[in-house]
Amino acid sequence: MAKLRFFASVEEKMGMDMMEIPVDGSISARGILGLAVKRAGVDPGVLINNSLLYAVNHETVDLDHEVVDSDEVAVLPPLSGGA
Amino acid sequence: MARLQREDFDVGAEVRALVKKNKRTGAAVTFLGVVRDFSRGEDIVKLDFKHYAGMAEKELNRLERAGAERFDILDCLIVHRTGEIMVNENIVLIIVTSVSRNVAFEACGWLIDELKKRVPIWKNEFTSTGRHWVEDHP
Repeated sequence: MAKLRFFASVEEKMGMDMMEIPVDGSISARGILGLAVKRAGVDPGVLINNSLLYAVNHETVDLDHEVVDSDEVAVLPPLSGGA
Repeated sequence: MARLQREDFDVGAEVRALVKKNKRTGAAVTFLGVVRDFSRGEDIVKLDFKHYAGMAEKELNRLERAGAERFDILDCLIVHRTGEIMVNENIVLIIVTSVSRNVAFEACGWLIDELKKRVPIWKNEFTSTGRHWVEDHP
């Protein structure tokens, strides 16, 4: 199972902080996020838009990155740490 | 080693500890970020900081190393709090030590700017009328 993690505003729009999706072989980050929005019944723009960052196993990636079954995929809304 | 923590920090103790690490230290520059009571024309009641555990710590430590490689400094430290933080309380501390002051000022400014771009931390502002996630870089 690939684990998808959602944070802050994305978590609230998804209505959940995590989702697990089985991956047979590999799938692009864009592909697995497409499956996630369908399953959640939300607009694709919630997980795929230009303001978001993506990480796989704690490293930032682009949407063409190939995801395998053991990966953790995170959708990061615009960051706002610091003061 | 950078730290993410719920509890407050003691600025003086953190500065003294970093200074004592190197007898060549001639300057210690600090940036202390605190919660102010307004934002975008609204009264702030408190902030709530969330982070991506694992990645946030990794990025903070990577940032410290990047700062040490980019600038001719002796050391640097980043401490960022998480959870609910009230007005006037501390959010983030960055300390840079160096032989002389100019490079420490420059490195300290660079580190807070980069922190805001790189580290997966999110700020939820609670105002007198509601709350919202901050999603820009003032």
